[in-house]
Amino acid sequence: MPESSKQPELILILGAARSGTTLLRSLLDAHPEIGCPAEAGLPALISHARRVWATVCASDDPSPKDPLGAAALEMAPTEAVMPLPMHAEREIRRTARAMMKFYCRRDGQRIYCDKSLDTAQHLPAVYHSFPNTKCIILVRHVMDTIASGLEASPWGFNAFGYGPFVQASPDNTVMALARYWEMQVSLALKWEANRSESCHRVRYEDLVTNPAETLSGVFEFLEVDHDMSVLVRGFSQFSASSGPGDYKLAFTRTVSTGSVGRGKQVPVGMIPPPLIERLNELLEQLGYLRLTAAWNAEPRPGNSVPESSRRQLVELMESMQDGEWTFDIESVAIVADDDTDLRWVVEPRSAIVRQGDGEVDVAITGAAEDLVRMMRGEANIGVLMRSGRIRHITAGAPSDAPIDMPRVISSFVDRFAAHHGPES
Amino acid sequence: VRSNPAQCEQPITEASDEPDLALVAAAARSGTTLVRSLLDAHPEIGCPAEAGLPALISHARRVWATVCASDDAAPTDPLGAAVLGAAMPDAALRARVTPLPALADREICRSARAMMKYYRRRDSNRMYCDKSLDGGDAPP
Repeated sequence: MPESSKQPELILILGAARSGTTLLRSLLDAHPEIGCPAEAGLPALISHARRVWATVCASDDPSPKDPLGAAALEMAPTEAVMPLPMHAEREIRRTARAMMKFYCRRDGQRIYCDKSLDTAQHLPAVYHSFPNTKCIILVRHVMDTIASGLEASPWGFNAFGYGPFVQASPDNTVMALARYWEMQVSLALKWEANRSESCHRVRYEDLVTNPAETLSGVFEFLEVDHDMSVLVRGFSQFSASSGPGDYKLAFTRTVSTGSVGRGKQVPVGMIPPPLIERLNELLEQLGYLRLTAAWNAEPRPGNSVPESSRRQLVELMESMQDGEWTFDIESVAIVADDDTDLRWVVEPRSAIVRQGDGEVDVAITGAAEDLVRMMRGEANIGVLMRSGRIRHITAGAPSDAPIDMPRVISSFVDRFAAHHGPES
Repeated sequence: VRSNPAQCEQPITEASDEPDLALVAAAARSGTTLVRSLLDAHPEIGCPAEAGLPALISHARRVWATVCASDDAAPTDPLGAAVLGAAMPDAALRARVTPLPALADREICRSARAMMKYYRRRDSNRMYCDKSLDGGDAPP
């Protein structure tokens, strides 16, 4: 392709790990004009080749005068790329193009798309070699990426680029993953600010909530056909053996909102205030809700509770209106975080259980399904609380005597068990 | 370590069996820079500072492996196996390198040669020597 062409031959998916980059790459790979393999790491290879060439050329007098290199230096200081002789520049482009063409040749696609998790670190080198590159910046709420990252790393943090951040704060993985997100998103937004015409931002939440509309915007930006059949072929054609990527996608058949809001389980109190402040700056810029102290007690956005869980919870709470209470607390709210209608105020001393809102001492929240499991004693309460599936928030001032929450919740469950007997 | 250009399907210039790549493989602080500067001063050898060519070749192989992963022809490509067999008689070492299609092997070989030739061209050295401290980490 001629250097002067404005048509991109390279697209980058730029996003932090656990932001839906594999989903987007599989959808784009299913498009007849785009070839997007698993995480190949082409941007890092281009950067690497530049470094090797720079050393090979270091003792070469003519290279610093190379006009192409000088043009690159006109970029902002943070985007500076070490100039190389024309010959080296051509070789780097040729090597990258050979790979891009090899992948795209299968189905005659005309644009290669790279999805690699370290792309943000190599943007200047890539744009230097391929100035018409278009960049899709994919973002997802920080707390949802942390929840997903923790779930995806049960045996260690050896993937996704988390390692250095976890090594820096091994005693607080929430903070580590928050810092990782902050770094990746900051780099992406900084690049976008200087290159807005070649960047298109997509929110994961919009992609899964309104896939057709969101993809339409992506296709418009890429100047390709609005082929919505990718929403089917993106899953049917996906193969986990094609290389690194999200381990879930091979077992997914459609775009779903099921993962939106899972970050409500992540304890916001683990993130230090200065970092919260920085995260909130970025969240506001991306159009997300800010993080507050009440983050873990607020309802999950955009989720609907399964009908069976809704029915079971309503029945349980209605049954609690009878019988004796042994609570030594004024009032407790039971709030399903996945449905705004499923909330009750319990006043043990008055034996009142009523649906709705009210002033309470303590709110206990979680997904309706988890509240049912908790009340039926089907899951260990300690495990539910430790994992963040069941959370609580107290209304008292910091100077007030702390409420023994495990005891309160245990009393609640005991009260249920005494009334109903053990569940079969 | 010496490499033979005949192992590349398409030698850029030389058609002889003379090696065109030498590697200085050693631990850090073992005198590698001294050796490399002595070799670089030899009229037949070009040996730049730590450029990291072995790691780049490894890196390129990994990227190619992913790009080729969904390609049916890739894993059974005979040239890939042939090249590996010639370069590494040891089966355990062979197993550490993912076979690639002939085109990929050629491209990796060609782009490495381009760098080597660029450095050698100054004094018309016939052999490129790489001294990098991670040479031992890179798969064969």
